[in-house]
Amino acid sequence: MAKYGGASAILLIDGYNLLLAKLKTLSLKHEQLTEDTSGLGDNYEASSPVGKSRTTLTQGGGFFDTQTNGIHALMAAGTPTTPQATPRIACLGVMGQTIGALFVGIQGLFASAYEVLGEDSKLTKANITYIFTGTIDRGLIVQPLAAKTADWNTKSLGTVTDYTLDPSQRVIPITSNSMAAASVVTTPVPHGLTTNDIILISGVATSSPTINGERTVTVISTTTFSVAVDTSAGAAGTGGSFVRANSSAGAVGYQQVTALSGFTGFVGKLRDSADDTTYADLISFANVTSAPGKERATVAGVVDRYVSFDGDVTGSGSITVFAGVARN
Amino acid sequence: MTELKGKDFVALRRLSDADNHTIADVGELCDHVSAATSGGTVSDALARLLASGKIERAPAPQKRKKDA
Repeated sequence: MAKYGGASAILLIDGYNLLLAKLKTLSLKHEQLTEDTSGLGDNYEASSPVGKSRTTLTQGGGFFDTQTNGIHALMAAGTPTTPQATPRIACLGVMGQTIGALFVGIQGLFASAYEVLGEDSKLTKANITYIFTGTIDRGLIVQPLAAKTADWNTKSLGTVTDYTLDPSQRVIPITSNSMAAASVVTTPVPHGLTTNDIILISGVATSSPTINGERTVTVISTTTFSVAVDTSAGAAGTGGSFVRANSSAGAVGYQQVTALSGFTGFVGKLRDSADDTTYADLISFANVTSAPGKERATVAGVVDRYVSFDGDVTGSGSITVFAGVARN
Repeated sequence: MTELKGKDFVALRRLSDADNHTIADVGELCDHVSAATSGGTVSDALARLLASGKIERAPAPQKRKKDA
């Protein structure tokens, strides 16, 4: 199992790279709110969920820094005091700046506390606590935070996100597959699929011909589905597992621009593909003309297995961009 | 299974190749779609695009009215 340390942390808020402030801690806490439901006569304290959750993001021990795009610049406007305050957009992760690494995207963070700590014989530091009031998305990094000086796309550069490799995907075990014109696959747990979903099967033994590989499913029941592999004259199979190779409920894209100089415009775009050869535009972010910049954009419908990021710049200069995609 | 041909489909989203060169803009025919580099045919590639809602069947060309 891979392990990650502090060097793998990512924290981008509203286009500010807050790791530049040399944070000591980064905490994302998600909790279900409960109410005390015990009363007179009870021997034990009882509590029940009230149907609400709360997420709190805390960044601690960062150096108080007034440089451009530093921690103070982000907080200079102060904490919001009205319900109309603009929600913040945050992207954070602990698996490093790698294509395909997990990240969490949040829209709706409001800074609820900004604390500057001055201590004798120490550099001044700052703590910030955000209370989450909006949407949280968990996805994969498509464009790690990196400086670019010309048009680029991650597919041409050699690496795209592959949904079948998503570390957060649930791997569903397979009990067996039958001998039939369209082999019927049985799972020991509900498979959660709908007809026409595409899955990647692996590890199935003895099936002839094999059902391993990418398959489109036809759902029969909550624990059975068929795939278009004719095993009627061959052999049934046992074991194996599958993961989803596409998703059907849309996605959310995040883009953060932490630096931009020289260029007069920048358009980032997410593309998806079922075969890693022909891509289709998935999400086009708005034109960016200055940094810091941030955007969260949504798309409905099927999102295919592979997702690539394209950056189109106007003019000459340099830009530093992060992008990710979270499937619903 | 019937073989699918690109000229029978129009793009619902801009389609592009690995280098982001446009294969078909929205509303254009898909006759430049190629087979996947990992294998399969053009028909297979079109079937995947059709299944994921990236393309749809092109409307049938209207027949000319006969002169009165």
